[in-house]
Amino acid sequence: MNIYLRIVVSILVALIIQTIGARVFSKSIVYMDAFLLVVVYFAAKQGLLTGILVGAVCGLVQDSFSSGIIGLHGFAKTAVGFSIGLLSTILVIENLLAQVFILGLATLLNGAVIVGINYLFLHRGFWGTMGYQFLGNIGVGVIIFQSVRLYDLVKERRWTP
Amino acid sequence: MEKKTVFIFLAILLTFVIIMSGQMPTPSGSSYLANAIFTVLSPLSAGAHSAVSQVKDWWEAYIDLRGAHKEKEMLEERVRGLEAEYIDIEELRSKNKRLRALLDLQEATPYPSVPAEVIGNDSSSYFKSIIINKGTSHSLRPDMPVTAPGGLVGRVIRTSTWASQVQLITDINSGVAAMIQRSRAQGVVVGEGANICSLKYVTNLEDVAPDDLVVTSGMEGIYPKGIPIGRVVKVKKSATLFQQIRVMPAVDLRKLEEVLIILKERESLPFKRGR
Repeated sequence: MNIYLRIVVSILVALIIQTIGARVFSKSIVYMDAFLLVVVYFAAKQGLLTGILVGAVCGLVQDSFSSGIIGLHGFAKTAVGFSIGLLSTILVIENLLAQVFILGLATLLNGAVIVGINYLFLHRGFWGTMGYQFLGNIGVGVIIFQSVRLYDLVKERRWTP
Repeated sequence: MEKKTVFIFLAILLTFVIIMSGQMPTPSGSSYLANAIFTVLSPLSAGAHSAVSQVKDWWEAYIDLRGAHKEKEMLEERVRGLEAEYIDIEELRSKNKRLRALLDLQEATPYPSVPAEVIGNDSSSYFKSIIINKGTSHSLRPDMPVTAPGGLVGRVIRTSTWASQVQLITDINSGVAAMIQRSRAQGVVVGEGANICSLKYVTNLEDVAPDDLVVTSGMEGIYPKGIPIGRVVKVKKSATLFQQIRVMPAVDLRKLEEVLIILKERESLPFKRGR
């Protein structure tokens, strides 16, 4: 599948999961941030620029369906895309520990930016969400990353003559 | 004496006995031989009958079992169908109950109102909002109050033609002018980001107790006065000027399915906002 198409489909899937997932599938979906996983995945796989662009688009889409300040998630996700894109040049992303590290770092950075900016503008801070999202994002993220890796390996073997 | 000879002898005797027996009537009307044979063989017959009956019973049971298995499958299918039907009926009954409550609320509301269905949640776990299936095409505008049977839900913050976003009172950025119904102590209910709120800016001198009902005061010009917000669950006098009061929302905002939007525009303030 074309990379742009993959990005668009991933963002749409993330939007559906985040907005109606808790009602249709499971309430546990609040323990993860599907947009963050999309940003981390593409930033880690495609590099800095893609990470930044995907982060910006993901954040804006998330802002449009959130009651927070418009641009808050855009800012946070762009920062995450940049950081993970940068890290992907020095880390072996296929490594499980590296995945745990970048997912944890991305969640902390995303949460810190959201809570920090909200506090800066509206003088209200809240850290509780970050705690459970830290575990949720790492757990779900690692499963997704490993599944995609496995799928790629199987596909590669199938086409090897 | 040869055994063969003895055998022939006995056989002839028996033949004679049979012949004689055939000619000798008994009080019961049948021959002695027949009676004797019957007496000897009847237990065997009874046993055979019993055995055959048993086999027949087993066979019939097997046939029945096969039939029963089919019947069981059919009945299970029917039970599944009925269960699905029952769930549908229960769902309809529940929906009917909720809609009836919503209708009662709509009739009791002094403002025109529009019911709407909740179709989604906030895309970020850091904030608390819902998406409803009514928008500007149904006369919805930002800052319109949203209620549900039981109490206040929040306010409309964003509208499109067919959908709107509603900020819940539990959202970290939400603020509702409120008062204690019993003592009329005034304050602001703000969201905590979880399923609880706090009532702020109530001085230590005011009379507030657990289980007090908190209602809207209408001071901010968005919410009509007197809508229940929730009940006080914890009060703590603090070292600062204001009490720390926790309020549990009257409506379970995590399980909202239908809401009522009050078509009331925000009242303009009697003074201009400073720049």
